[in-house]
Amino acid sequence: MIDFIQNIIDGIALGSAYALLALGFTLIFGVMGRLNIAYGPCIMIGVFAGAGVYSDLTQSIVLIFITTLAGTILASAYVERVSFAAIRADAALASMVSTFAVWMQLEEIVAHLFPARTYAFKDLGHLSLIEVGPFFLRQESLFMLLVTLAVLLGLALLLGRSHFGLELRALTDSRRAAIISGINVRRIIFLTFLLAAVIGGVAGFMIAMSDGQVTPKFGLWTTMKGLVAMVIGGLVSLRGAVLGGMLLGIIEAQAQWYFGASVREILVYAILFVALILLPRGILGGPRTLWRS
Amino acid sequence: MLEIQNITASYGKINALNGVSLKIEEGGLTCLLGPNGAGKTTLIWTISGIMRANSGSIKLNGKPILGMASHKIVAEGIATVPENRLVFPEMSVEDNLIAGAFIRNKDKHAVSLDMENVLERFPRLRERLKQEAGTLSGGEQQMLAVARALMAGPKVLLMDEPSTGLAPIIVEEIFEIIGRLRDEGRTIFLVEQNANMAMKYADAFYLLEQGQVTYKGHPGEDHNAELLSRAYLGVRKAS
Amino acid sequence: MDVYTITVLANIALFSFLAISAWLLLLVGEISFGQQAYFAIGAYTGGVSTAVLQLPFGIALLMAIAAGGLFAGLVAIPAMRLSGLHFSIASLAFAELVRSVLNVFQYQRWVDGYLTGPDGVNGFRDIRWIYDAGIDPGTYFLMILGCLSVVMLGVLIASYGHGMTIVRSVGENRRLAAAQGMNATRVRIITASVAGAIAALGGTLYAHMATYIEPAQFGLMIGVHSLAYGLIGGMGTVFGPLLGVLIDIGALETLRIFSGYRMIVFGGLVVLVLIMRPRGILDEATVAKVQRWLRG
Repeated sequence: MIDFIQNIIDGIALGSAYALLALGFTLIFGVMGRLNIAYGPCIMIGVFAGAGVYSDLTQSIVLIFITTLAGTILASAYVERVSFAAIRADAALASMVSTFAVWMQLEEIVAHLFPARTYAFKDLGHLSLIEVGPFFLRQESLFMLLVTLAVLLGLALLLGRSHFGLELRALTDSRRAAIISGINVRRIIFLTFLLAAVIGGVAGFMIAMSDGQVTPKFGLWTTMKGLVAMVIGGLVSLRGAVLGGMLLGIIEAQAQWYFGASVREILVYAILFVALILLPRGILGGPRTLWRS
Repeated sequence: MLEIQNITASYGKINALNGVSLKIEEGGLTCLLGPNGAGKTTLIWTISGIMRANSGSIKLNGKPILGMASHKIVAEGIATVPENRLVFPEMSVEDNLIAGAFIRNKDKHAVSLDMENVLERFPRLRERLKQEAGTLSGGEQQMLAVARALMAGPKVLLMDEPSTGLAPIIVEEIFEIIGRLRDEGRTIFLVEQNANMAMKYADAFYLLEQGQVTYKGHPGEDHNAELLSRAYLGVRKAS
Repeated sequence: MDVYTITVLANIALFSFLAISAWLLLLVGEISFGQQAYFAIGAYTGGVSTAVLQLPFGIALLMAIAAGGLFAGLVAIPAMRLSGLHFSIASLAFAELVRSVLNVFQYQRWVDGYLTGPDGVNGFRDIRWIYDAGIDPGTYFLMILGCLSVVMLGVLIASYGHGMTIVRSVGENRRLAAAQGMNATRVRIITASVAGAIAALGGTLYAHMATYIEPAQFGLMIGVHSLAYGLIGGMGTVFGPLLGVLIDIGALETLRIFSGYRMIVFGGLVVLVLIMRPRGILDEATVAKVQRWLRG
């Protein structure tokens, strides 16, 4: 029982990172109705940029963070222009395939610039474990959870209180009605991409800091985790994305503990597959709401 | 005020508009009648910039607007009340109205003033201000669609078949509102299949058949019965 | 012909199986990122059949084809209820599921004093039936080509009959096809099965050429490439996916200037084609033009 609860605690930490990834996917899917498969690789560009400056130029957390964000944003802007803006509105699957192609490109770029198996990333140093009764809390986990909460709060304020937030919600609700109302759809889509990039950059930075390193598998890894969490959450619901991320984190932690890493992988993909078939509307079911006013 | 000349538009190989020309005078209700499939909705989409025309010109007070992005056209002063309302179903009535206002000004104060005016006109919407738009009745959604368009402070109001799917009593109510807007001096371009209702309030008519304007007139002149049958049935009287 | 050229040509042929497999699904209106799952299933089934169970090559081929078709059909039955996007993610999920299962799949027997068979992450070596039978690379290449020709011939024959028309109609507009009396779901499941069988055939031929396979070889990128081949080469004809493979492996692989930048160039090509010619180089319109020109 203690293990089970300890796993939940550990799972929530990683789950919060997954939640942010899923949020990024969901935001883009909400405004565009299309999936950006290159989301993970864009974040990968960001964290590798951060790793790059860490090893050569600076030790400053702030600078590394800004570099990571900048990398993610630049890569995302490229994807938005090439895979989404340039493709007709009704060719959703063409966009998705295009993002896969961009993924190929981004992976090869990283492979050329960073040929080694792993690169060091600024880490949190040696932090002690916090003991709460029979349970252990890693400070890294606390860090991730707090960052995630901050992002969620910021997002909630943005969506609920700003003009941009209203236009984003409107566009997600009905694209045609948004056009009729005079909303500049292209602009909102571009800005949403940037928003997703910022969230992704934060998530990537957080994960890289927690691991203390980055590897070339980062792109595939983040994409898969974000995708599974998003699907569990129902594809369009932000609340679902967060829930999906947390759930995935917890399930992974439990599976890893009781069955080991290989089974954990199998379980994740099996869950994704089954979730798609049985719960196309995600675990929350219900209508497609990005955000309740 | 709004001059449309020789507009052609097509869906792939199918020609929807074959050289449509008409004039919408300032401060009145201009009606476009015609049977199903004549191209009425296509014309509305073309004016509001959602659909690309192949050729022709559209001028608002002399300024050419064909080819402009649709949100810019709204900024120029043409607001659309689309067929089937197209409200934001999962946003509140209030948010629906605010969404319509952005193009005019982002000043919070000005927007709330506008909303006050609009809610004065549609007290039923005030009652349902925080309700999700998707849960409103058909008639209320129609009012919301009109209200939202008014929030943009338009020079010209385009209305596409506002009577669709509504009960006759509600249709009368909606047209009364349209009539009042006309009386206040608004410029309205109304596309309708319900020729009866439209003729009661219109200042001028056009008949659109198979992508072309085939008739132009004013109410009270005596071709009305023939016009009605052609508008409803697309029937050409043997003559 | 030297061994290098034969190897490149053989790779082109083998990836064509995957490309045609993904292309068939594209025609019936589905985007699958997971055909590599059936390629893998074919590879492992064929390999186990010859190396572990010591069955003849022909039987191994048949078993691989059957396995591919069976699994593809079983996956299609629930997956066909899903919409386009959901189906695509499901195909991705299934492929990764297969790969992660293969990572733990162990089935080893003592054969001729050697421990033979798939060993999870460590892979599956010594699939040596072709070499033990004394078949040289050139001859094996002809065998691969033979199988590919049979597949392409099958598709071409179906194009002249009702088969492909039905597939394309369902792909264009499912409801319209159903209104015309076609059982859209059945067509899609059958097409998925056939596609799986074709991929599996390619997989087992690949396994016997490479003699060593491991789960990591059947990753997501292979699947995406297979899809891209049909999209670039053209949806109008079965030569479309072939053209796509030729462009990627043939041109980009052999032209040294591109070495090391192949994915960037190929990726860029896919991106451009999707923007400008969504149905590929040999799209239906072009194919129709060529056919008219041929008829004179």
